[in-house]
Amino acid sequence: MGVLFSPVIWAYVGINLILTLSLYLNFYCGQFSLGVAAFMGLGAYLSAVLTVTYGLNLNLALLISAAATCGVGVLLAFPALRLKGFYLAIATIGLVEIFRVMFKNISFIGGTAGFSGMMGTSLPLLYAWVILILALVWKIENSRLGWAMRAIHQDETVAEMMGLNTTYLKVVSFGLSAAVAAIGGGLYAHYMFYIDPDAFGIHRSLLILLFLVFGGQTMWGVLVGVPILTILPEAVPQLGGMRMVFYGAILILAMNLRPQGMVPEDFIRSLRGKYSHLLSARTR
Amino acid sequence: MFLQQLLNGLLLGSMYSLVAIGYSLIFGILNLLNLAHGEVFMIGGFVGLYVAVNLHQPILVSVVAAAVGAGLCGLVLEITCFRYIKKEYPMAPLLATVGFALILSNLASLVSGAEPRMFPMEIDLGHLQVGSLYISNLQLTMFVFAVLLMVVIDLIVKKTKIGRFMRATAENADLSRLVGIDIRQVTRIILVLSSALGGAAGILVGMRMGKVSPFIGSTIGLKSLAIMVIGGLTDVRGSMFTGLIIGVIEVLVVAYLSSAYVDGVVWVLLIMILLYRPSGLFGSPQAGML
Repeated sequence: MGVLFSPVIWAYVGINLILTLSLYLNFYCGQFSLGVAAFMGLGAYLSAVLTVTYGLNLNLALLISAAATCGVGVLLAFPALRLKGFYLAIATIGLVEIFRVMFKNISFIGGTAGFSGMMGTSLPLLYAWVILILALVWKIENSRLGWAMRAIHQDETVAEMMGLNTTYLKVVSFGLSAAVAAIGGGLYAHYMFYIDPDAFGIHRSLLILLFLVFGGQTMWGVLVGVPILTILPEAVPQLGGMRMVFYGAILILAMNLRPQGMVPEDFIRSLRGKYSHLLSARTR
Repeated sequence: MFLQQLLNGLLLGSMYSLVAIGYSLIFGILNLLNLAHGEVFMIGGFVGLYVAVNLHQPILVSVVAAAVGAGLCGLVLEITCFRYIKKEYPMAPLLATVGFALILSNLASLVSGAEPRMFPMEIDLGHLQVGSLYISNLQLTMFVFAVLLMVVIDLIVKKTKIGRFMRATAENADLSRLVGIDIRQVTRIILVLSSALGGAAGILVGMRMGKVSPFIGSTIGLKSLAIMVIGGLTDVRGSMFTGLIIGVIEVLVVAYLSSAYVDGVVWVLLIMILLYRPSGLFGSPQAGML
């Protein structure tokens, strides 16, 4: 259990939380996108270049790279919006691969050899960002924008019939998700001191999808699923090389036993129902 | 020179086709994505390598062994990732196959070490020369095997009873169940068949490249996924032709442009296809696609 006191693990948890929330913003609007690794990579490289080459402050660099990545996300959203379901997923896998090949071929950012020289993160700074993004997601969930996105998630045709501007909503969700992924990527780059294109391959997206589905595709699920799945493979050091095998087995088991995830929406709703009298008593 | 490149492209493409067919069997008929397909392919490569090198068997035997080994993997995959997961949660089997892929690739690297294993040179069979064209007999053997396997699969899907069940399931799973088709049986057969095919492809590609590595699966697996979509998803023949086309394009890109971008080519093509002709090169438009 010594692993629980290792700062590196908690840094991973924080970064994975941000990335999973980014993917959640897409799923929340009913978009099965796997582009998070591409936006993460873009954010990582942009912010790293800004701090190392141009000597900018880390937080400023993160904000700038988030804004830029958000722009790229919005631009890419328009063609992507034409696709649904698995088709969007496969197209965004393509996006991730294209970005990875691009990173490999730009010598300015180190190409295949990677890019290094970043510094300046700390655990408190990282978790300040985590809390900020959690607050953002929570705020969106409880706003008109969030309800509209939820409607698209439930049934896009009905949402459109009700007069919702689904294109606008989907573009917003894409842009927000890209911006959040960029911040996660930037923090990752500065915590690791070194990045290379292969860190932003499709495996990263799949891993994040894993966190989200394991959690149950809700915000609370993200908060439960990410720490469990991040800490678990490190928790039993005796496993050695068998670690990833063990991880895979846990996944298969979890998907068989609880395919809806740890904290699915129904569960949250039933909890709310059960304890609503407490809440209302307090407000009275 | 150009003809030689074209030929090399076709040879490379036939390997992609074999793997892509596996995907289109699974996705086209069952509407499920199997992300462990690339790893099953890798297992086929290792089994074949073991039989060919350690047991000194001829190529034919090792290809059969690879197919059987990978087919068994497919059976385990079906039991662990598909059979007991409720249909209401489409994301769960997808991620279970990711877990399965993790297990396979890491077990393989534990058993054989993370470095690629080389195929020995004894498999070198000399070469054939037609005019200025140069084909090694090994490549020719691979190509013949690949085409043969594709023809067999095509016949199974188009002509046999189980093939008819598969096409019915692809058309409408609920109605098929209603008329008495055992969907589970169909699922099982498709997973075993596509895995066996992938396994055979594994050893063929391994021999062609001269090596097998535990992490080869994801690269070729993903590329074949793209090929399946470009070819038009449900269409097994579409995947075959698209595999060949992509092989030729990749070889031409390496020969006349730059090798640096070769891994991106297929994905650019994929996104173009999805945007302008989402039913794929050979597929017919389907409901629910756009």
